[in-house]
Amino acid sequence: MSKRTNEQWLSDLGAEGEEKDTAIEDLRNIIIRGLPYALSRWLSPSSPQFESLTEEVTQETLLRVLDQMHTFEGRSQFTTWVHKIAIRTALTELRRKRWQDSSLDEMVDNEEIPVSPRILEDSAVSPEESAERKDMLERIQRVIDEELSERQRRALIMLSVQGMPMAEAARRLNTNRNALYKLLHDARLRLKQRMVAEGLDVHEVLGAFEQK
Amino acid sequence: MKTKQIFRKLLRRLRGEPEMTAQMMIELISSLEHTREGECSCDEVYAIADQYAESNLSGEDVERLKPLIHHHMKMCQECGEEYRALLRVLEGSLAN
Ligand SMILES: [Zn+2]
Repeated sequence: MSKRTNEQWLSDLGAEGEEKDTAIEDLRNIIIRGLPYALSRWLSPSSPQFESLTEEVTQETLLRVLDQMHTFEGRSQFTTWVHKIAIRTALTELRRKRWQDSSLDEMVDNEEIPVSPRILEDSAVSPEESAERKDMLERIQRVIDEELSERQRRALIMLSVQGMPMAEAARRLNTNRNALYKLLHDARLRLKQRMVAEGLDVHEVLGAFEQK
Repeated sequence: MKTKQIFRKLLRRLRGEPEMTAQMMIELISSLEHTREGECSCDEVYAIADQYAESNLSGEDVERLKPLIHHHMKMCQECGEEYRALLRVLEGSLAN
């Protein structure tokens, strides 16, 4: 496979006929060679899911690249830009599948999310410390209840309690990942300001809950 | 607690929606430590991630040059994961 400059990639992919076909084939191989590294934290190339995921992701990435090529600004190697798109595509799909599988398991295992704060039942903690934790938790609970909007609360619960991927939580909130991050950032900022106003110090709170 | 909050809480209970657990509240509080105003967004990070990764691998001090991007990748699990995956891919193709 010949090395192309960014300009050559763009002109070959923008051409018609054989030039274009060869460029697409080369790009396909580059994507396929990158994916085992990208997915190494989650999937081994020998796992049964790997091949189908790779096939699906490569196909989708090629379509996106051809569609978005005109937005490439040349600030990196063209192939790095393509890997970035492949990774976003692959991890979005992988997270969705993992979450679907795990939430099916959970529906069988436990239908209810534990409401009782297990943290208060730490046996290594003295009664005084336990009372302090309880008091602290009530104050935090009140701050959270009063500061967060219903939407912010739902988003937080989907992401942390239910372990939902951002794309899925965003879909349920009729928004996108970018806006979801902003929603959560606003939530954190509000809480932080309120904690200051209440004289609650983040370190102090965390200190009280340090596992003994 | 204000009436509005009590009402919302009742409504959630009626609908059978999950409440926050104590563990989750603690995690939320610990994320406040590094929360700052003017954080950049996932889209801003994505737009520059390829260039940022190449600079990083060529030995530039990207944490200092682009502190907001670095900060976002620490705060946002998914952007952090995607960026580390990109670094692995680039390192892998350099090794071959
Ligand atoms: Zn992000």
